Order: sequence, then C-alpha cells, then structure tokens
Amino acid sequence: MSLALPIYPATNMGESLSVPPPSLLDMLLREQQSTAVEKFSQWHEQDVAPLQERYYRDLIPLSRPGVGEQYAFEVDLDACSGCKACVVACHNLNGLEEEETWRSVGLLHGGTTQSPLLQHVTTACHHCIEPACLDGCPVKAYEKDPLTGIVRHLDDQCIGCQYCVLKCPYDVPKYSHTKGIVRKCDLCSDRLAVGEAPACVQACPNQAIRVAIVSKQAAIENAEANLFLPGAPEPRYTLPTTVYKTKRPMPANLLPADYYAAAPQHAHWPLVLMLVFTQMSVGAFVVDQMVNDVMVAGGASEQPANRMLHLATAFGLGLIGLAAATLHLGRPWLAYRSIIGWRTSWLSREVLAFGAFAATASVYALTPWLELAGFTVAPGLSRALGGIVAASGLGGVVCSIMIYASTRRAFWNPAYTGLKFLLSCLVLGIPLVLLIHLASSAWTSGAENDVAVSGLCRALCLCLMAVAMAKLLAEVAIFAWLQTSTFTPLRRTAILMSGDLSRVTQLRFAIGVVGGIVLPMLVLTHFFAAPEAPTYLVSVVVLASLLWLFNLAGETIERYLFFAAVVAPKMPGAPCT
Amino acid sequence: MSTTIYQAAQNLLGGMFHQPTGPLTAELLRNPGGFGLGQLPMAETPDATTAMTCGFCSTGCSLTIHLKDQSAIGLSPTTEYPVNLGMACPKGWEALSVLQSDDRATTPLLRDERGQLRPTDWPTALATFCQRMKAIQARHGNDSVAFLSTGQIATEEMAYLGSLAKFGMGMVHGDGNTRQCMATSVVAYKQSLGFDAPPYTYADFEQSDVIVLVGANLCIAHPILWQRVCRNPHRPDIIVIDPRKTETAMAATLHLPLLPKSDLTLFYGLAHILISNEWVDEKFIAASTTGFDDFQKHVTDFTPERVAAATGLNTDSLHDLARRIHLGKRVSFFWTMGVNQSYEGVRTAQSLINLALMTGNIGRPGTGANSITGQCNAMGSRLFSNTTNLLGGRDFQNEEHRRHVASILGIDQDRIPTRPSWAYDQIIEGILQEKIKGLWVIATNPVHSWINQNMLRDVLSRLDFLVVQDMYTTTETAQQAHMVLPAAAWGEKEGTLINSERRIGLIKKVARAPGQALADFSIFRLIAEAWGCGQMFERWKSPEDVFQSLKELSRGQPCDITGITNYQMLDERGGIQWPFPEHGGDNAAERRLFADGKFFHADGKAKFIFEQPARMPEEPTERYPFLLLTGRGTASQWHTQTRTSKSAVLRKLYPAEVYVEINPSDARRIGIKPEQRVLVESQRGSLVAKAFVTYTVQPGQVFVPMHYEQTNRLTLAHFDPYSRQPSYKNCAVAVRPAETHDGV
Repeated sequence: MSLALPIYPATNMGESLSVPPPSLLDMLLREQQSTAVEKFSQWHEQDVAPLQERYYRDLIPLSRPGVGEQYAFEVDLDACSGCKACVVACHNLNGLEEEETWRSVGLLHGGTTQSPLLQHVTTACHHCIEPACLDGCPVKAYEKDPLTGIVRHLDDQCIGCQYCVLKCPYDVPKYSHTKGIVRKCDLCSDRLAVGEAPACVQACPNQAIRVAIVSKQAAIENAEANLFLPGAPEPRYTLPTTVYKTKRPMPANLLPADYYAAAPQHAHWPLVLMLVFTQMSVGAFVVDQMVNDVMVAGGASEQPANRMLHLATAFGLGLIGLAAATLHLGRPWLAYRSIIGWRTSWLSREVLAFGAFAATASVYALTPWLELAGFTVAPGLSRALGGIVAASGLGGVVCSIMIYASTRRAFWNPAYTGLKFLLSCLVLGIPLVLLIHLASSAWTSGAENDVAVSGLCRALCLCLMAVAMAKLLAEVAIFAWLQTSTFTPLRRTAILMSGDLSRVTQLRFAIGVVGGIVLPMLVLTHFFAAPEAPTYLVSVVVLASLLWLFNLAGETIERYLFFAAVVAPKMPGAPCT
Repeated sequence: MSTTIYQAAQNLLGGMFHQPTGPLTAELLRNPGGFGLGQLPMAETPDATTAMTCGFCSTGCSLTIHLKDQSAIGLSPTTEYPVNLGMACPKGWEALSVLQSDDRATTPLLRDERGQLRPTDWPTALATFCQRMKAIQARHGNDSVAFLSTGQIATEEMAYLGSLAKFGMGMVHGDGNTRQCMATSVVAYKQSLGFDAPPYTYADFEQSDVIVLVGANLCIAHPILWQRVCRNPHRPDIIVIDPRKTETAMAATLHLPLLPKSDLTLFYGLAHILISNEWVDEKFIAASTTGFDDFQKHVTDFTPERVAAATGLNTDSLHDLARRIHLGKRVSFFWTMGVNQSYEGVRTAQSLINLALMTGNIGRPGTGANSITGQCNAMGSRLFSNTTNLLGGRDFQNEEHRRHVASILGIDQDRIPTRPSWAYDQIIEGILQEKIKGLWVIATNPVHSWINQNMLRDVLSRLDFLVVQDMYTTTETAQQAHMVLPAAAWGEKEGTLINSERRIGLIKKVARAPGQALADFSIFRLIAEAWGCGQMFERWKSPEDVFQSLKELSRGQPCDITGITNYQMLDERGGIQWPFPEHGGDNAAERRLFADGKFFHADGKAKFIFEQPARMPEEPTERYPFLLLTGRGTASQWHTQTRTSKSAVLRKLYPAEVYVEINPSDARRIGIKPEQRVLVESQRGSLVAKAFVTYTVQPGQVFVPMHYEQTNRLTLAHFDPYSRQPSYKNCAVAVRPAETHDGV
C-alpha cells in the first residue's frame, strides 16, 4: 500500500512562530538527564538479611545431604503455570549474558478434545548422577561435588570445545561465543551454602520449584524405571536427579509442543573439515600401505620421489584436518589441555590417537627424503612404520566415531557413524592415492611403470566405485524412515533432509554419484580405450583431479548433513519456537 | 633456591593444565547485595534501592530498583508490597532491559520531501506541530484535530494531555487505547453501581472459597494475580469459563468450555437456576438493589435446556455450576478480555454483576464482581484522562461539573467542551468522513492493535498530519507518521499509576532517557508553551503539581484521594487504594468497596441491568468455517510488542512468528500437519501462520495470539454499542495449508 503523505520541509519552519523560550526546553532537557531517586525513602538499610526468605524458607532443605544423598530440583508440575519468571529471574539474579539462559520452560500437551491436557515444564540442569557432560569433557572442566552432588562447570578450565553440549541429552550447557566457553546452572550452590534459595526457586510465583535432598539410589531406581518425565530423553543414560511431581494423570498421547518441529542444527564447520581431512589422510595412508603391499608382492616398488610426494600430501592434509579442529575451540590456545580427560573422554582419546598418528606419520613421511639423501631405510622398518601410522590413524578415526556414537543421538548411532567414517577414509583416500600415482606417473612418464600404474589405477577405480556405492546406499537408507508412522529422531532426520535440507541433500547425492561412480568410470574407459597412447596421462590426471575434488566435496557435504540433520535429544520445548 | 624454581615450574605447569578458578569464574561470583536482596552478581552490587510500580500491566506490581550512582543497574520484585508479594512475571523482571534499544527515539523526527523520517531539533518540531495543527483547525474547525492516548503513561501525564488538548488547544475528540481493553467495564460499573468502581482488592483472591474466572487466563495474562489465587489457603473451587483450555482452565477445579459468545446466555441461565432454587439473597436484594423483579422476569425464559443448547454445555453442568455458587460462602466473579472485548460486553459484565448482587456476594471479603484491567494505568485513564469523562469521573455535558472543574483548575469555564468526545472507532470514522484531519497519537500503536488493521492503515494515510509520540521509532504507527516526538519511558520519569484494585502507585526516574527524549509530561509542557496556552497550565510544573490538582478534582467523588498528602506518602505506604479521603480515610493496606451495601447511584442502590443476547454479526459460513479467537499468547509478550521484543531473554520465551492453534480433528480434515504453514483468511485480510495442532481449542475454533502484527488483518470491526469497545474475539475465518506463493 502506498502512503500519500503531505510533504514538509524539515527546517526553517520556526521563524514566524512563537517558539517556547529556549530556557524551558533547555531546563527540561537538563532535568531529564538527572535521576531523582534521592528524594524518596530508601526502603531498606544496607545489612538486612534476605527479605525473600519468608517465601522460600520452606522450599530449601534445612540440612546438607547425607551419605548417598544429593541436592536436586523438585518441580511441582501442578503448580507450574508457564509464566517463565524462573527463566528470567535466573538470568538476572545470576548476571548472565544478554541472551544467556540456564533454565527453560517447555510444554507438554495431549489428551482429547473433551479432556485436553496442557502441562508447562520448567527445567534446568538435572545434576545427574552420571553426568554425560562430565564424562565427555576432555579437559576435566566439570566436577560433581561429592557432598552436594551439584554438577559444577569450571569456567576457567574450559577450552570451549562444546563437546558437553553434544553429550548432554537435556541441552543444558550453554556456549558463549563472546567468552569462548560453556556455562551452566550450578543450582546456585553459593546461595544454598548460605541458606538462600536458588534464583528460580526465589522467583516462582507459584512455588513450583524447590530444592530437595534425594537419595541417589532412589534417583537411579527412578531413572531405570523411566519415571522421569513423559516426552523427556531416556533417563537411564545420565540418571538425572530432578524430580517432577504431579497428581494429574498423564494421557498416553502426551507430547512435547515442539515434537513435530525439526530445525537444522548447527553445522560445526571446523569439525566437518577436521573429520573430512583427517579421514582423507588416514585413508590415504591405509590405501597406500595396501597398494605398497600389493606392489611389493608383485615385485614392483614406488620411486622415492613418488613416495615423498605421496606421504607428504597425506600427512599435510591430515595436519589441515587437525588444525581445523582447533578452530572449533572457543579458546584454542588452551587446546593442549584436551588430553587430560582421556580416562573418560573419547575426545581426549581422539586427540591422543591423532597425536600419535601425526607423530609417526611425520617420521614415516621423512623416510623417502632419507632415501633420497642416500640413507638406506630397511624396507621392513618402513613398512612397519607405515603399519603403525595406518593403525594409529584408524585408531583416531575410531575415536572420532565414538565421540559421536557416545552422544546417543540416533543419527549418530555407532553403526551409521562407523560405516560413514570408515568408508569416508576409503572414498577420500583412494582418489588421493590414485591422483598421486597418476600425477607422478605423468611427471616421470616411465614407460616401464605405466603398465603397473594402469593396473593399479583400474583396481583403485573399481574399489572406489564399490565403496562409494556402498556408502551412498547406506546414506540413502535414512529415507526409509519416512515410511514409518512414529515420529522417531531418525524419521525427523529424514524429514529434515527431504525438507529444509533437501537442496543440500540433493547436491550431496549428485556429487557423490559423479565423484564415486561417473568419474571413476570415465577414468576406467580411458585406460580401456587407449592404454598405450602416450597422451592419455594428461587428460586422465585432469579427470583424477576432478574425481578427487568431487569426492572431497561430496564427503564434506555428507559431513555437513551429519551435523545439520542430526536430531538432538532435549527436554520438551515450547510451541512454534 | 632450586626447589623454589621447581615448585614455580610445577605451579606454572599445573596451572596450565588445571585452572579451577580465574577471571571467568570470577565473572559469575556473587556478593551479598545488601538491602535485604540476598546474593547478587558482584558487578551489580547496588549502593541504594528504591521501589516503584511496574509499567506493563494493571496488576501494578512493585519492583525494587537496584541503584548505583543514582542509576538503575537491576531490579527485583518488592518483597512486602501488598500486590505482588515478592514476585514478578518475566516482563517485570526485564522492565529495565527494554529501555536499552537501538530504535529508541532520541530526537524529534520529521518526514522530509522524499517521504523519509529525518531527525530534527525540538524547536523546529514544536513549531511545526503547532503550525500544522493550527492550520488544520483554522481550515476545518477546532474539532478536526484529535488525539489518541494510552493506558501506559502516568495519570498526571494523562491529565495534562487531556487538559491541554481540550482546554488549551480546543480539541473535542480524544480517546485512549483503554477503549480496546477497559471501556466495557467502565460502562458496566457506571450503569450498575453508579460509578466506575471495581470493588475488590487482591486479598479477595486469597479469601474466596469459590472463584469464578470468566474469559480470563490469569496464568498467562496476569501471572501475579494467579499467584494470589495459589496463595488462597481455603482450597477454593476455581471455576473457569472460557472456550479454550487455557493454563488457568487446566488448573481450575471446573472448566466449562462454552461456545464463544454464549456467555451472556449462560449467566442469565445461571440466574434462572439460582432464582428457581431460591438460592438468592433476598435481604441484600431488597436493601441494596433495584430492578430485580424485572430481571427475574427477564431470565424466566433462560431455561437450562435453552441455555445448554446455546452454550454447548449440558444441563447437569449448569445445575452443578449454580450449586457451587450457592454453596460458596465467599464467591468472587472475575472477568477480563473474554468479556470486555465483546459486542455485548457491557451486558455480559453486568450479568456477572447481577449474579454477585443477587447472591449477596459483594462488599464482603473474597467476593465481588471484579474486572481485571489490562494496562498499567487503565484505571488512571478511566478517572483522569479527560477523554470520555471530564476530569475525576465527571460529565462534559453537565454544566455544574464544568464549572467545578474550571474553578479548581483556575481556567475559564468556556474552555471546557460541552459535548463528550467521540470514542476511538468514531474518531477513526471521523477521519474517513474527513472530519478529523490531524491526529496526535501518544504511546500507543493502533496500526498494530486496532481491529481490522488494513482499513486503519488506509484511514491514517488520509490524515493531513499524524504525530506519534513514542519511546521507539519503529512502531508500526510511528513508521506511518509525519512527525515522531521522542518520549522518555517508564523508569525515566515520574508520576503515578492506578492498578486494577484502585491502588495508586509511584513510578520514579531511575534511568536516563536517551538523547533528547523527554518525559511525556515535559513534551506536553513544551507544546503548551509553543501553542501559546502555557499560562493556563502554569501551576503544573511537575507531575506532583498535577497530582495535587487531581486530589482536589477527586474531592467528594467516589475516587476521593484528598487524604494522600504527596508522593512521599504513597512511597512510604506502598501505594494507597482509592478512596482515601482527607477525613476518615481507612489506613488498611488492602480495602474493598461496598462493605456497607451502599452503591453510588443517587438512591444508594445497585441496578440490575439486562438485555436480550444478540447473535454475533459474523458467524462461520461454508466459505469461512472457523471462528477466530484472539488473545494473549505468553506471559513474556506485551500487547504490540514494542517493548517486550527489545529484550533478548523475553524473545527466547515466545514464538518469533505468528502461529495458529487448531484442533487435531479439524487439522486432519483439512490436511494440516503440525508445524505446517497455513493460510488464515477472513473477508478482510489474511496471514500465514505456523499450525500448532492441539486439543486445547475446540473443533470449529482457531486461536491466534494478538501480539503479532498480522493478527488484526483478520478481525472484524464491530463494537459494543454502549462502551464502543472492539469485539476482537469473534470473526469467521478460513484455514488451509499455505502455498508457497501465499507469501511465507
């Protein structure tokens, strides 16, 4: 709609009119800038005990937890009316960042038209008996207080890896981009220590939240009996201690208000690149090792210059991957701390494994240089070293798999993740090895090697096609979940990939088919068409480069979808948010 | 020496790997805040505190402002205040953060030759304002300039505005956005009880044994009043009458999901059953009321069978409801927008007043026919805005009233208009008929909130001069204005607010307004000067000066507040309810009206007022088969969201986009899946919303929250004939899956 507005000049209007004396305007503008609170009574002197105590006195325990006990939130669902004052009070009384909230309020609904049920649910950290955040943390930035059971986050210890965010099934730890660390609810432990109630407890108008002392054994039994809360993630994983009480019968069809919502998750680009490049590197070393075994068995051997290029490339790409990982950290300069959690954290173990991989690979990559410089490296030693590199690299990949598999997210289950990551090693490693063989072969163009290279390349292409096809089929299998009637996390992932993320998904499969099937076939036809033609190598190198790039792109997009299409478990959320 | 180096090295290395405390940990450390506040973040330790009334809704909570160097650094709810008892809703907790926003108006803005709003200075703005408005008046008559005011500014500012506009500038027509929420209660009370006098005090929530809530979702709209219900120790019977299963309905002991707009019939039917069973207080009726016999005849026809058919409830529940009211010793009736925003809202509110009167449930603890107001100062507006009523609840058409007001204000009686103002919708209509050419809008956002919004946008574009005075430049209405005047906000100025239970509370200046923004009070002073009528208001140099005048204007009226010495007294007492006359004022912190059974009509009696229920003007049809209900969405959203959308935390607590609640059976029938985008369409406009498929709305009805700009594209402009309040909660719409070209 267009606005027909009369036009007025913005200035020179005032001359002929009676303008108020500037003194009044000036005075009012001046007055406006002074606050005038001193003239009113100050309600309370400096040193008064907390006044709100009269309301929360009965909402916190009188004593400290005893042996086998701990503090826990207790929520009276019948009293939670969904005002969300707890969220904002926690934010304000704890001095959180502008958008930071440690508590949230979701909604469960269901029933029938005759008897509908609407249940708001306030939730914060559940101070679990087996906190997944604590187990996953690579730097031991979490501690569970042995006396109170409160799960505390040590902000200065945190390096900002956000693995706890992935591990916690209740979406509790909150990452701060400005601070580069995670923070979370500590049950206002300092307040409890001096007999004050946590902010949320103080602020609930209906006294729906209290702090109780619970028996850990009872908490475990409740979790095992799945008595936690309808619509909440399965409690056996971390044994949450929050007690949700209600007298209302909960209908069987009770669902979180955001049950049908499926929004793409954060893509975590540094992690995408880290996984793709480390897996390409490990894959290249593994494939190279196998190729060498085959060549040695066939009496041939690779030229040192060739091997130099080969190993340096594989090693360099691996380093890129590891470097990318540090970009994910909020405080990358503290990355070295990430090894100390190795007893419980797969992330620490991954760092150690890839550390060993990088160290041995650097030595291994040096061997052809030594040979070129005139030193003899015993073939057995070299091969053994290669074996160690491949093994430690594979160990790193297994740790990568476990990092995600142990979050218990359906799309990241061990089978899916394992299959993807291991096949990625091959889908990325084979083209790299192929490219380097062809490139160095074109460079040296030693006719005696051509036959061997040609055979090798044909084998690599066929392997790649088989592996790529297997991987694409495994990936496409997710869409089978679209046929199911229940709204499982995997079905949600499938809905995301065929909905919000459909363009990316289509691109992934298109590139995957081209890189994994079409281009290898073109390479193969070259070999079969004119194996003896001296010029074929240049065009085939171009093809092989494309093949490598397509597979790199395809796997990168696959890994993007791995993060973006995962459905994170969480407490019931609010409608349409 | 070497051991020291070894230890230092060990400490360094240890610190490198293990750092349990440090600067990041320190950021979250808390100190005892003093002032009875308990622990507070270290950086936010106050050096003083002061308490003031919240500026969002009419509950009128008190917030303790934490001050450092004379400026607000935080807040917490005031523990002892008799309204909120140490609690606040999310809006109150975030009341200070919404003041910090990039779109605050910091200078006057004037639309330039290219149609862009450009900053200008105050002298130019004031001169332009007066020149344009005077030019319009010269050409089209004094009454061709009107104003639309608000329930969001202080009483003193409303009084200044109303007086300036009508006595100083010669306007006749001015109304407030309170028309959209409260007008119905005003008229209902005036006609029934003789004065606009909600009789209750919040303690009544705690003292009832039967609480009847009609069209009121306290849990979401008034969380602190729900808190008071929760503090009731008598295990009250809570009866919620609402088409939707709201949070409040969930928590009720009885929810009656009646058909929309069948409430008037229901309450007549209830009166019928009460009378048939002789469950009425004949003594009270005889002593304190008139018109009961006619009322009795009127409800004879409202048999349980007829009422059941009209309301969709069964006769058993009707009898059950009547029995509960009969058995209750202290029955209170509360209503909110479900009643007020109706084309027959006045009669519906009066049907509740009738029930309270006939059962003697008024004037005693835990009883009353009680309207829960919307905005923080709707009640101030009702008494002192000088819009519909002459100052102090008086009548423009009454010469005696005009003379009295003129003498108190020391102005010429001829300056007071002799005809009452047009109501909001009539002012809009006046623009269409080219009778209104200049409009001054203060602290309200009609382009978002007015019913049938598309038409309003068009109407406002016909004005010669539209001035919007607001704290933000981005409101939908400011964006359409020729001039924007930058206003200081709640917290940046002084004055008083009057809450739902008639409690007068203070607001204080605890923060600095951005740029050249000025308190509305100061803007009115400047305009008075620039207009040339500054002399008339010479005695009003501060809000407290106006307050002293308002006291005089209240003398002898039911709302007599002559006993309140000054602001200091309001501050020390934690607010004071009207009446509080100079002599014989009751000092109790919580007081109700009509304990003596005397009402404000000349004969001291309350009237039974009633009328035949009418059909809603736009019932669902084959083309538009759903009935659209609108209302509040969450406790974190306030009206048109000009303020609440400025808090990052509040934004996290409500859906960012408009959504529509629809029953699963309807959704299934028309092929709508949860979370799907759907087109909601009325004869007037359409919107695309996300579907929230839920059993809490009945089949055939859909619900869309009012806080989204699109909602009022759909609503039908129809009004209560007595209160002129828009009926927002009933119009026919069609719902279907949205195509992509529907403009997602």
